[in-house]
Amino acid sequence: MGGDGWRRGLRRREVIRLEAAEISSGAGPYNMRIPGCGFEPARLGRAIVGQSCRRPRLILCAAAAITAAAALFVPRVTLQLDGRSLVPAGDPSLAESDSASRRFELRDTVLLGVADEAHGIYSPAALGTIYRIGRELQRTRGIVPDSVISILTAPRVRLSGEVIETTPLGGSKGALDEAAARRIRREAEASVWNGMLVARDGRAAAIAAEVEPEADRAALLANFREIARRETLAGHTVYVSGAAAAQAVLGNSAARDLLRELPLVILALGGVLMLAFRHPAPAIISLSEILMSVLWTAGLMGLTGQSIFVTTLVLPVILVAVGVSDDVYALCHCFEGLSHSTGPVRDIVDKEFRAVARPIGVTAASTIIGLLSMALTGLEPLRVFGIFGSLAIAFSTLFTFTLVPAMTVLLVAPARAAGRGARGFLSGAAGALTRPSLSGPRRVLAIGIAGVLIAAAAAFRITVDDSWTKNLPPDSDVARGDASLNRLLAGTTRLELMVDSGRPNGILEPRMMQAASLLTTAVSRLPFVGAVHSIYDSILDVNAALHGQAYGAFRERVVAGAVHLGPAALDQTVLLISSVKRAALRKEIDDDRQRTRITVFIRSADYNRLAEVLHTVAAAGGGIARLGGRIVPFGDGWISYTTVRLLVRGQVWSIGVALLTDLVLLSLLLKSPRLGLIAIAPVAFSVLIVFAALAAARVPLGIANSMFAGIAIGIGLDFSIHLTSAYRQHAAARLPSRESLARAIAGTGPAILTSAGAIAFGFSALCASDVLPNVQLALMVCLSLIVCAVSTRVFVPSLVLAGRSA
Amino acid sequence: MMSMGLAAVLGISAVLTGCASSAARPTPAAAAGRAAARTISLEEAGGEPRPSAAAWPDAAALIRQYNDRDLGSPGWRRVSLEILTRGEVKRRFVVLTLWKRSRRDVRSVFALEEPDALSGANYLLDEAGAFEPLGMRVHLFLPLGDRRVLQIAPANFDEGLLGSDFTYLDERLQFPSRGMSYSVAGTSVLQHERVWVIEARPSSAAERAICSWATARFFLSRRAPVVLGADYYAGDAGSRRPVRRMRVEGVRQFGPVWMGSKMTMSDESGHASVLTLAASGFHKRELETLRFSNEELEALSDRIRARGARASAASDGGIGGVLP
Repeated sequence: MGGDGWRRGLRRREVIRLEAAEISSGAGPYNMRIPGCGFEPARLGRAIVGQSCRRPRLILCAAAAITAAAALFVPRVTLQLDGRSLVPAGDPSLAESDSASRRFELRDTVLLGVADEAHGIYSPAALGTIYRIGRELQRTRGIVPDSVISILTAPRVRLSGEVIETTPLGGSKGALDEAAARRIRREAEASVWNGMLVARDGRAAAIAAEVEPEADRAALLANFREIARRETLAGHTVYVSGAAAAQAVLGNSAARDLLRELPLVILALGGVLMLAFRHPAPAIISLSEILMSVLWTAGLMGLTGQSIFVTTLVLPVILVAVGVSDDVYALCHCFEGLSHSTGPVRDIVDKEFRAVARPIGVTAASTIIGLLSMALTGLEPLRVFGIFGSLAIAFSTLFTFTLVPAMTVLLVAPARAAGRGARGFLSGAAGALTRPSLSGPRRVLAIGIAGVLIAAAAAFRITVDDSWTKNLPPDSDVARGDASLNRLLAGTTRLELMVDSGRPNGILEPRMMQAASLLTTAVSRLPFVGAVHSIYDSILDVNAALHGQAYGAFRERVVAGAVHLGPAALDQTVLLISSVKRAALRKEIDDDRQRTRITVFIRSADYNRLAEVLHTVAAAGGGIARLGGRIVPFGDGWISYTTVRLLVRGQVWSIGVALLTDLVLLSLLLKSPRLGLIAIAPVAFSVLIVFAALAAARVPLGIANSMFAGIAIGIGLDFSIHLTSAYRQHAAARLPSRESLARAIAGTGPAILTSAGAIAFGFSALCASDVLPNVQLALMVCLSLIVCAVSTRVFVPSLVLAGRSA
Repeated sequence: MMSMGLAAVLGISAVLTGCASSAARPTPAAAAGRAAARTISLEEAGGEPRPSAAAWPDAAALIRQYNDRDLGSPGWRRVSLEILTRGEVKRRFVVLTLWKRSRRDVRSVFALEEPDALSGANYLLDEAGAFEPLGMRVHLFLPLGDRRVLQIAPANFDEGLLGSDFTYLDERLQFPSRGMSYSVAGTSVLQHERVWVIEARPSSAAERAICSWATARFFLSRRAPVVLGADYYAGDAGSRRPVRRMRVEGVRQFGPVWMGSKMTMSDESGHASVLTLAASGFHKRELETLRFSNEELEALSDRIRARGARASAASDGGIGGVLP
C-alpha cells in the first residue's frame, strides 16, 4: 500500500480497538511476568485502574489529603547558593581542595569596586567613597568584619624610626585631603597591593570582604546595592561583584522565575490540551495530577532534608511540562474510546486506561531512566534533579492510573464525543510527515545518515563552561559590575594553589621560595592573569620595610640576587609578621610552615583560562615537585573547573548509560534488539542535533542547560516506544510490514504530536526566564522534542522498512 | 583585627610568677615556695558561702590586691608553647622568661630558645610604666639583618606572641591600672574553684583601638591571687560566644606565689595555644644583675645562641649561661 492508499484503507477505530484488545488480553508485546513469583505488574496496574474508576471520589479525597500533608513539608526544602555545594561532600576530586580551604579558612567573597575612569581614584572624594564603603561593609551583618580590605585598610608593615607597626595603607587617622591622597597614591603604588586592590593605572579600586557561610545572601545583596546606589549618587561609579553577590542575584532570579513561569507553563499546557481535546477536562485533569505529583515530590524533599540548587530551581516548571506526556497518551485513548463507545463512562474509562497501562508503564520507565541518568554526572544539582525528578514521574504515573481515570469519570461524561476535529488534523499532519518514509525509505535513510554525520562533526566542537556570573541575567547590575571589574582590576575569579612542601617549615626553605617564585612568575605572565599573591610577597614586603625600601624595588634586588634571604631570615621574617599581623598570616601560611597559599587573580575566567593557568602551574611547578613538594588547587576557580570537568564526564556517562539501559529495556519488551535500536535512534539523533546546534551557536554546555539530555531522552523516547510497539502489535497479528506501520502511525500520530507540542509549548514558558541557562534549556528541550517527534515519524518507518527489504 | 587578651595576662602571669625553682642558688623564699607547692582541690574550695551582691568587694580593690601579689621577682621560667590547629600540634617553641619588678614598673624578657632558626629572638615587655596606652611598651629583637631592636607599635599589642593565640597583653603580669574600667560582675565556680568574675572594658578610644574585644571577663580565684580563666567577647559579655577563651588547667602554690602550670588559649576557628611550664625559679638575686633594658636584648640573644638552645633545655633546665 503506497501513497495515500494506506490512509484510505485504514480504519482508525479498528486499529485502536485491536491494540486495546491485544494489550488488555496480555497478548501484545508488552506482556511481562516477573520470573519466579508469577507477579504481573500490568495486572496490578489494571486492578488499580479498576478501583479508581469504581471509587473516584475516594481516590480524589485520598490524593488531596496526601497532597495537603506533603505540602506541609515543602517549606523545609532549602535553597543552596554555595558554589561548593554543587559537588557532593567527600567527592574525591575536591577532597584535597576542601581540606586546603578549611586550612586557610576560605570563604565566599564579595567585591565592591569604585571607579573613576576619567580622574582616577586617588582623589579625596574617591578615597572617601572607598573609606565609607569599607566602614559600611564592616558593620554589615553576615560580613566577617576583620576580612574587609581596601587600599585604605590593607595592612602594611612599616618601620617608623625604631617602631615597627602595621598601619593601614591609608593611614590610621587624619582627613583625606589632597596631600593624603598623594601620599596614599605614592605608598599604594609601591606596595604589594598595587594591582590587586587598586588598578595599576589608578582608575579603579576594590573593597573585598568575606561572607559568613550562613549569611543571608539576598539580604546582603540588597545591602550592597543600597551602598552602591548611594555612593554612585554621590559621584563615583560603584560596582558589585564576587561569588556571594552573584549567588544572591541568581537565587533571586531563579526564585522569581519559578513564581512567574509556573503559572505560565500551566497556562501554556492548559491551552494546548484544550486545543487538542476541544474539552477543558483533560487540561484540568492532567495539570491537577502533575501539580499534585510535584507537591508530593517537594514534600518528600522537605521530609528528607534535601536542598534545591539555584541551577535547578526550575525543577517544578520542568516537571509540570514533562509530566503531561503520559496523560496525553492515556487521555487520547480514553477520549477516542468515549467518542466511539456507548455504555457507562466508568466502564469505558476503565477499559481505555487498562489498554494503555503497559505502554505508559514502559514510557514512564524510560522517562525515569532518562532523568535518573543525570545522577551519574557527580554534580549535586543534577543528582537531586535526577532522583527527585524521576520520583515525581513515578508519582505522576501512579496518578495517571488512579487520579486521572477517577477525575475523568467525574468530569468527562457530559461531553464524551468532543475533540475529534483537532485530533483529525493532527492525524493528517502525522501522516504527511511519514509519507516519504513509506514511499522511499532508503532515500530518507540516506538523508538521515548524512544529517547524522554533519551533526556529529559539528557536535565535536561543542564547548563546556559554567560560572556564577555567566549564568546571571546579562543586564543585572552584578553581571555588569563583574564585567567592569574584570576590565579595570586584576580579575574577579581567584584560583588558589596550596603549595605543600611535605615537611614542617619546608615553605621557609630558600630553595622552595625560589621554586615558588618561578611558578608565580610563569603564571603572572599569562595575559589574562591580573595578579598573583603569595606569602613570599608578604616576606619581601616586610623585609623591604625593614630595609627602608619600596616593595617593588626590593623585590627586584632579591630577584637580581643583590639581596639574599637565608633560612633564618625567612623564619624570622615570618615570626615578625606573626607578631604584628597574625590573623592575616594564617590566611597565607599554616602554623607549621609546611603549606602556603598562592592566589591567582584571573580576568573573565572561563574553563579554558582556568585550564591554561593549571597547565602553566603543572609545567612551572616542577621545581616544587623536585623538592618533594606538591601543589593542590582549591577555591572558587578550582570548583568551577572541577564542576565543568565532572559535567563533561557525567554527560558522556549519563547519555550513554541512559541510551543503553533504554535499549536493553526496549529490546526485551519488543522482543527484538533491532526494533529496540530503531526505537532509540530518533532520540539519539535529536540529542546529537541539539549538541550540533549548541556548537554552531557557540553556546557552552553548562550545569543548568545540560539537563536537556536527560529530559529529551526521557520524553523523546516515548514517541518511538508508542510507534514501535504499535507496529510490533500489528506485525504480530501477521499484517504486512508496510500496513503494520501505516496503522501504527495512524494510531499513535495524534498522541505523539499533541504530547510533543504540549511539552514544547510548556517549556517555551521558560524563555521568559531572567536566567540565561534556563532560556537555553527551554530552547534545547523544544528543539530536541520537535526533532525527536519528526524523526520518529520519518526515520522509524524508514529504518523498519529498509531493514525488512534488506 | 587584633585580639588582645588581658585575661591570659593573668593566667600567664601566674605561670610566670609561680615557678618552682630548680637551677641557680635557691633563696630561702624559693625553697619555701617549693616545699609548699600543692594543687588546689575541689574539697578545699568548697564550703565557702556565696556572698550576696551587697558583699561583693570593689573591683579596684581586687585588681590592686592582685597586682600587689608576690611575683617571685626577680624570677625566671621556661615554658613550652605549643600551637595547635584543630587539636594537632603544629609548632612548638621553648621560651625562657625573666622578670623583675622595680619601684617604677614590671619588666619581662621573653627569649626564644627553640626552634634553632628563631633562637636568640627576644622581646622585652615593660608594664605598669608611665606609658600610654595601657602603661606598656614592647621591644623586639631579631638576630637577622641589621640586628636592630624594634619597638612594637601599641596598635599591635593584641597580636599574637610568636604567632600563637596569646598576645602581648596576655603576657602581662598585672592588670593594666590605666585604660581599662573594671567591675565585679558576680561570682562563679571555675575549675572547681570559687571565683570573682571581673568584667573589663577598654575605657577610651586609644585602648579600644588596640583591643579586638569589647568586653572581657576574668575569673579571679577568691582564695588566692590567681586568674583561672578569661573569656573575651566582641560585644557585651555573655551576649554571644566568646571570641577567645583562656583556661588554666592546673594551679600550684609555691609559698606566697601562686601560678598556673598549664594554660590553654583557644579561639572560634579551631586554633589553640597551650603553655606548659617546664622549669622555673623566683626570688633569684642573680637576676638583679640584668638591666631588663632594650639595649640588653642583643647581648642576651647572643648569649642564648652561644649556649645553644638544646643544651639549655637538656642540661639542668636552668638559666646557666644566660646571665652575663
